[in-house]
Amino acid sequence: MMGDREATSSGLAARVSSAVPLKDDEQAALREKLETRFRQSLELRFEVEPSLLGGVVVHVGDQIIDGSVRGRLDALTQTLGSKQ
Amino acid sequence: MAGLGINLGYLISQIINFVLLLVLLRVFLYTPVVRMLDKRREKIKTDLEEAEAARSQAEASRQEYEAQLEEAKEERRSILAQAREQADKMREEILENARAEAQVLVAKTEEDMEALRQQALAGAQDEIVEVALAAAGKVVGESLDEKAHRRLIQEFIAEVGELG
Repeated sequence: MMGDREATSSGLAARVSSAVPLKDDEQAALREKLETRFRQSLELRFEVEPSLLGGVVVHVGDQIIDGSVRGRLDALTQTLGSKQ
Repeated sequence: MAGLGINLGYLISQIINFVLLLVLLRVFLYTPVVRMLDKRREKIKTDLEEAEAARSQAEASRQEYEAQLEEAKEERRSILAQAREQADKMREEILENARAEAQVLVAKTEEDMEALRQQALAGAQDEIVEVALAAAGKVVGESLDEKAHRRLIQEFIAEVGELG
């Protein structure tokens, strides 16, 4: 699991995308949760992506944690048997 | 006798002449004529018999001919009946085959139509889902206010330990 992750001097690189900018306390809370989950310090990069419509997506290495409205709509599309 | 003017010698000679004539007539005329008549009768009888035989023969031939004719007619009837039967059978077979082919064709067509219908339905369903979700995305995107965004972010942060 760890071998294929992109590591930097200050920790594993992670990209956090959200539909609206995260506030400082939100960023801090998210960092704490993610570092607990991955059991190491992370190099977080925050970016705004309005096409997500709402929510947050985190890319860590090849892993994607999708909590966006767009992601849920896409999942719904697949469930309804649409071509994807 | 002389008194009566009868010459005895003459009478006797006349009698002898008469008897002689009778004998001669019998020998040279009566017997041949009778024989000839017998022959004639015999010939007529023979001719009649031959004619009868010929008639019988003709009758037999006629009967034989009629029998043959009847046989030929019977044969003709039989051949016709057989031909008719064969034709009926062939017609029935052709009809049966045509019917079976038509059935197969109809079934195949129905199957094709069903497949096309399903395909069209699936296509339509995909399109509907796509349109509906695009519309949903647009509506959601427009209707999410600041408070909703914050709540979504908070939910994500709370669940990020379990998500993935």
